[in-house]
Amino acid sequence: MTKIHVKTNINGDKVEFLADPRETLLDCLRDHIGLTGSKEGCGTGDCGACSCIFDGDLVSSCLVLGVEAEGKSIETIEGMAGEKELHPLQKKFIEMAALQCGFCTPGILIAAKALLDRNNDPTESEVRYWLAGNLCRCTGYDKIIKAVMETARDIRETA
Amino acid sequence: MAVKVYLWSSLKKFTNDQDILTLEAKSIGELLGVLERDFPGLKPFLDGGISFAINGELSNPNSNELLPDGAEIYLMQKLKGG
Amino acid sequence: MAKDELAKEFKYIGTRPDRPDGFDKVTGKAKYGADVAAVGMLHGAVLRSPYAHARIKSINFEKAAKLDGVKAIVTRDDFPVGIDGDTLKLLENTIAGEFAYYDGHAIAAVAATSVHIAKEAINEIEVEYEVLPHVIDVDEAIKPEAPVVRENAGDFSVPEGCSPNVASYIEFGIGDINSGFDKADLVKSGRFKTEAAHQGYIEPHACMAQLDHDGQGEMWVCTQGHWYIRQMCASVLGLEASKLCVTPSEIGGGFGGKTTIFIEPLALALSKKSGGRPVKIVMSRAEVLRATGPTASASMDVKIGITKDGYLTSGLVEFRMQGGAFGGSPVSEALQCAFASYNMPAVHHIGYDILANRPRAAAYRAPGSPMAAFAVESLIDEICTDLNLDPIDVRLKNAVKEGDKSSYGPKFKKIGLIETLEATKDHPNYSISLGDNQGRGVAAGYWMNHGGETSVSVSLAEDGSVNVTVGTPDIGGSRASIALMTAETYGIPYNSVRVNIAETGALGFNEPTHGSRATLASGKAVYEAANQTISEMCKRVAKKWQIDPDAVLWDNGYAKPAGPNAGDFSPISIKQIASEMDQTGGPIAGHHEASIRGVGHSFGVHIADVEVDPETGRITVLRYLVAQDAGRAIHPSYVEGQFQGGAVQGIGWALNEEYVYGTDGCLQNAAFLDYRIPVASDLPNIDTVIVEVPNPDHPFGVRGVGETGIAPPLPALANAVAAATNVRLRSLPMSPAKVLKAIKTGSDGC
Repeated sequence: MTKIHVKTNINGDKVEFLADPRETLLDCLRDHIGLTGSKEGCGTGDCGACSCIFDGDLVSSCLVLGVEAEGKSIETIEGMAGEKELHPLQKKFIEMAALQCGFCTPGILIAAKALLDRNNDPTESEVRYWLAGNLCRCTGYDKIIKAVMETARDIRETA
Repeated sequence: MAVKVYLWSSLKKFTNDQDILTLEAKSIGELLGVLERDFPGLKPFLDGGISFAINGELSNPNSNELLPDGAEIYLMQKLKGG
Repeated sequence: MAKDELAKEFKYIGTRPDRPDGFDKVTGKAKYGADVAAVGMLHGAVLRSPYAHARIKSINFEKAAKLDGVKAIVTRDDFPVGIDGDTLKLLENTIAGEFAYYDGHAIAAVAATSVHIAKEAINEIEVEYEVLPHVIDVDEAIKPEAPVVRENAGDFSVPEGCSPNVASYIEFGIGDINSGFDKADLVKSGRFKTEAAHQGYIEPHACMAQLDHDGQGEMWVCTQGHWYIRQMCASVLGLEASKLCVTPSEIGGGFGGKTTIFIEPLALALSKKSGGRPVKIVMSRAEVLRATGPTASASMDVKIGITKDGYLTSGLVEFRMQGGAFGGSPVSEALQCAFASYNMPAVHHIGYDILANRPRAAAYRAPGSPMAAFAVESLIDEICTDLNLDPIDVRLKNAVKEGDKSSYGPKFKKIGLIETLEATKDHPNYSISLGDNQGRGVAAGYWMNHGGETSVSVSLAEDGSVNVTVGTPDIGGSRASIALMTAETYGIPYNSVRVNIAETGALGFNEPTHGSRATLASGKAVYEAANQTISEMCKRVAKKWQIDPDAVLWDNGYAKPAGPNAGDFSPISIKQIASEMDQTGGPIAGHHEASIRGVGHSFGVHIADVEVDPETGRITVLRYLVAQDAGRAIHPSYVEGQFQGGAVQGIGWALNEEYVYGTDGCLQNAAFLDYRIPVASDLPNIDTVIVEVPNPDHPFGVRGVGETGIAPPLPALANAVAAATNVRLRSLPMSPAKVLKAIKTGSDGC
């Protein structure tokens, strides 16, 4: 199938790639741009391992076509850390052992950041429901939820 | 060197209805040899892979492992793990 | 090591440092199975049977082969003949021969220049099937008149007159159960059923393989055990094992499901057929659910006798477990776990491993133990209710302890069930008062743990930091626990240790990270290997000081004179010894290879509080407590993580997860939307208590913590639901519809 030239912005960088129109944004990120931090756990939008920010919205990138990225701005896990240090959520996840195998971690971090960017004082229930679209099979979610709640508290205290 | 070998009950039909055998063996390898020699019906079970508990300690079969005198050895089906 | 040394103070063990691979895993840098590519790489796809049972009459791939970009197609004809025994079962499951045995069974595989072309080619392959009768349910499959899954599948253990679908039979016990039942004041029995559950790792199976015509090959695989992958691939393909180099990727969960082969030999065969080009295959989620894992489904009869003051007198179990088309359900492990928590004068166990037209069961966390726990711990709870006895007290009265004979024979050494029960009894969760429609359930669980074949090496870098190389992939923080044990052994900072997971060529054989063994076994082996290098360092220092090597001791990162008689020398640091090693005899390294002994049995006790909505049947878990004997927690955060993760997998199995088959024998819920694992909003926090009764046979007291936690949730939740509703559910999952029906009719029909 003829490929389509896509111009987009990923993690602040201008990026161009050729997409097969059948390819998802996740395929394009992983296979054309080499950003393999976003993971495919299901391909049907159920697991959240491919979570990205798409023009400000939290999306499952396996449900977005690659050609839809034209002219948009995309944030992936690779762009989450600052130049000098990790994002507070990343730091807290390591510190509180909020990951085991680490496969769902990029998606959960992206989703959690999307929550805290909107609301830095969520209740535990809000965190649990916000992250209900991100499956984790290793941790039982306990340490993930606590890490997000603590990061929110730290952000509030430093704000 | 006499050791006591405990079999699971479904093996009794190959050991003249005994589920506890007292055998002479200095090592696991010797023990397996004696079992095969005296009770040929056990061979497919032994070949199929088994685990041992020697004086309470679970282990993979190691034919060179020496057996203390009077050791209690349980034959168990090969264990899996997740 | 003597027990008194176990009480010593540790400097690093028991602390909670950042895991060494944490940075890579929070930034997306860590490379998992699907994250690599190679120059000239092809993409593979697999054609799978749409029928539960069928004879494959012909496969025509002419059209598919003509598609532009298709480079290789393999079927069973591309695999060796003359294979038998377990290897034949592995091969049959990898790619069907004459018969397709389950919905999703691999029939053919294609390699092409893109995933799209490979998938297109799969659709162009024409297969002529003769559909055969199938059987799915375990109780149907054991009937003598059931459709035969595979001819002559029963082994030498199967008694005459059994269904042809019985693959093996086992029976064992101690004491006289009939006299035990005679002595009981109450004898109760029941039938229990559990559905198959999938391990549910979020990362689908993925591999990239390359195989040349000279038989040399390389693989990159997400697996719990790359030596197993090497051994199995070599045996089904007729390759020489040492010529196959398998590198493990980071692994996105396994839970037992990634201890065997599925797509790996297909990728190798495709690579060889395409002239040695690398071939990557990544499973879809539907393929994972249809063709890998799951665990067995079970039908279980239990009978238990008890005195009115709560002493168990006798127990009988008959477990029938379906492990797919090739057998291999964990029925013997289930039997061993059934009464393992209790010191009973008489127990008897009967087990059937049964075939059905389902995917070949793979190990799943404490294989067999959760089903056994569901049956036995549910019935014990019924008894406690009937006799108005406290469930923890009854378990305390009967709990096994050091010196007791286990229900399957061998005597226990030091174990911590009583301490664990006491920890739950003392926990505030046990005394929180409950409201309407709420109930509390208690249950215990057991796993024997495993040592297994292990090889490691340790080497000193020139700056005094230490490289540790192990062969057990890190699924949940084992790099951290191994680094902590290494740091403790040398007395050097945790950050001065780097733990690598090596490919198959770098070490001797290693069993996978399974059976709760990575921290236990690799830890014990690293301790031995590190001590070899410590002896060597002491020797070199002794030469420098011109004293006997025995007069040098190692203390907290330094070589020191053993006492005043040894001489007056200033301690020499590992840094200095390392910096001089090129001048004192060359590299300093150690290695250890063994079948690791000294595993410590692991017991856990859980308390679940639930609320059941009487109008919808929905169960809400209000609070949940896991207490388990870890032996010693090397990195307590990751021990808690194992407890919590295991508990939540058990909660999913109890409440939501099941394989749903249509009347056509095809899986109807091969997606995460329909195979519903727990999500964050389903759950409360999972409270934990780490009980530490050190394993006397491990240098740091480790028992292994991974598996036990999945067993108690199944009965703990059923017991809690019974307390909340006065209705006993004897079949899982306790889905809302089933609970509602049970509330209305007084039983779930099992």
